[in-house]
Amino acid sequence: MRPKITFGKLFGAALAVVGMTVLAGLADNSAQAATDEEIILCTIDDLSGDFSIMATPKTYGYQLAVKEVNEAGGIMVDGAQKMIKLITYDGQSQVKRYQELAQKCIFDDEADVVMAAYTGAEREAARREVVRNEVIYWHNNQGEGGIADRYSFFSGPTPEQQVLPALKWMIENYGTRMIYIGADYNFCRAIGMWTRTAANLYGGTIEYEEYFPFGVSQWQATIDKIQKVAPDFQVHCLVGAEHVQFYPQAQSAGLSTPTWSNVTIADGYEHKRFAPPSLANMHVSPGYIEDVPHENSKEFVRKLREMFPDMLYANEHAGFGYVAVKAMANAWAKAGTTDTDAVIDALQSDIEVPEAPGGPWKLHGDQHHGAMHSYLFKVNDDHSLTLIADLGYTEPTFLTDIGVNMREKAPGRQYLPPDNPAWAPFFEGQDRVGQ
Amino acid sequence: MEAAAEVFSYAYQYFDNIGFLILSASGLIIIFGMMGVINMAHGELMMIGAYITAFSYHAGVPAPIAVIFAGIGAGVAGMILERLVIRHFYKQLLSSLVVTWGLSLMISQGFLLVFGPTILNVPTPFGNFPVSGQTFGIYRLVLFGSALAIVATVWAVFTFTKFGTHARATMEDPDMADALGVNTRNIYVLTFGIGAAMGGIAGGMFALTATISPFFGINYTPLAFITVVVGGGANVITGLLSSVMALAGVQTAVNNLVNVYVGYVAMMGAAFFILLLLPRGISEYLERRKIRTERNGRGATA
Repeated sequence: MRPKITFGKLFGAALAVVGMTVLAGLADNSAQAATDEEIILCTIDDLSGDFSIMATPKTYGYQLAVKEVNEAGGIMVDGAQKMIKLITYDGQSQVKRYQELAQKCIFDDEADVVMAAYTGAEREAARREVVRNEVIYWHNNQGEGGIADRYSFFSGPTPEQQVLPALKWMIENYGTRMIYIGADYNFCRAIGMWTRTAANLYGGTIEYEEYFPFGVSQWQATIDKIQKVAPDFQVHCLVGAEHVQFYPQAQSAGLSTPTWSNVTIADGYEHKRFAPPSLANMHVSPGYIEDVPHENSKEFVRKLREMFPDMLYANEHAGFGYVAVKAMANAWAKAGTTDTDAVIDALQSDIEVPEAPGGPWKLHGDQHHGAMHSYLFKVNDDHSLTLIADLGYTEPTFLTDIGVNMREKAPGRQYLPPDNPAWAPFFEGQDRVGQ
Repeated sequence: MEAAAEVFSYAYQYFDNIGFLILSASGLIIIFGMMGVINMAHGELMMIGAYITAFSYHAGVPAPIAVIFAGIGAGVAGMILERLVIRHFYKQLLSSLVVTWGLSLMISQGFLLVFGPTILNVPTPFGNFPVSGQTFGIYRLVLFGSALAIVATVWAVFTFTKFGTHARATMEDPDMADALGVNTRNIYVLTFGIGAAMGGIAGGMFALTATISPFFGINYTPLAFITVVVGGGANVITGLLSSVMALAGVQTAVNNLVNVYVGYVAMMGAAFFILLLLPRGISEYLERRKIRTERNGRGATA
């Protein structure tokens, strides 16, 4: 028998729909009201998908920093003591989500600052949308550097702080012949250029270079090619859960040449995820990871573990997510307002974060990148890390050398190593790809 | 000597690629090849196998037994899925696609919520051996051998056992099988369970060489489907073997002649062309040719 649709049922359904619409409207209003009393920090990170391994600890860094600022009473802006409201979206490791979620942050949430993305591809999808609408944008893990834009700020280390000093050390200690393999997208293409720069500056040669799409997980052909070249050391930029399967496969195939990478360990804490000794003889040069022997680091990890007992490892993302929020808090306090131009002026006045987990951090206002410490670690057979060199406190100088000063004029573009006239000869005869 | 290493390296990569494709597709040849269910959650059954293997191994169970646990666990998970969800969608290709796609999202996100973004994998056993100056991992060959063993076992079970006969009868004509006294309901559950268990074993074996995360399975599902579809449904075993030999051959050759990226694209391209020429898969073509030669043979003697 078919159920009868009575007037009463219809009325009930209509009432329910009206009720829900009213409730939804109320909820919306309360969200709108909140924006006036709180500072809105909108973040987009990969909480699911391939990159959730790397990006999840970054959201822990955000949460800790926001909690600390709010527990200290918030920030005095626009004549009132305001709390930071953290809004978190899941980018699902999909580049196309970043553009639409960035719009959501800007238009629905009316964010005062947007912090988003892990990979360079995600970063550009979100960043272009944010800066187009003249909102402050932060990217908070290591990047390829060189972005000179009025609204874009970077807390993580650049290749000047990682690639150059680390490869100098590798060439001096292991020999001059290297190979380079990396993921085929803007970041690793750029790191390839920085590797070429380092090779030219410090007397090394790149014997074999290849780029791979995301998702490649079968590495035997590449392992064979590297064994044939028999380099003194390898340079890697392998990104994502599929790519890093290189390491157990290489280990089981007996390829154990020293390797340097700026994404492995620092981003994906592979030494905690792969059974030893898959990552043995890997060298990494993060601006921050849990093993950094600075006093700030111990305190940071203790607080983080207290909040997130299940956290496997405090990676570079956790550290620089924390730094970025602290830098913004200092800038808001200094500007005394959330007005974008005033906050940018405050940021450009060389804002400092002395409690940064990797050691004191200072934003270079003319470059929008930070000066910081970086450290060279080696992974041992049992997957413990040994600090083999303190790469020192490095000032970012790449953009200054090219002649960019963003306090005066922001060109709104990205520069890569071939744009530095002194380095251009290194790239003669090379394809300009990756921009 | 150089040439010997080169030839060995090519052969090694070829068998490695074959093993990888067979293992990815092994459970799906039953679930999709025989039962006709588009199971988009196949990769997630493999992921369940990988988690069970890792947890068992780190709890002190030896790796081979941990992989067997993975098979049992994924098999049980598969049977539960079949009873609760899949059985409502037999013979409904599009609905089964959407429903299993949803299951795949729910299972992987569920694991993310419960176990976090990643867990420690299992060390790769067996070490390596040298061939004229180059070294090769032993475990990749073990993967290849296990893949063949799994295919042989499936063939034997479905060819020689009473269950196998009943299963094939049920897939061919469920009503007739039912009328002849076959408990088709149990057959469906068990067949799906065996497919899931094979996925679990494959996932468990990959757990010894891969990152284990809730999204472990995503990359295996499309490859598994391509392999099975290229193979075709006329004879799932010949289909699978001919399909992996063709696809792995193209991939290995292009990987070495050009690079890994073009190798991957070339493999997809090869699948596309095979399906363009043989829309019902390689095994259908082989079966038809066999029948034709048999007929021609009879014609000649008559």
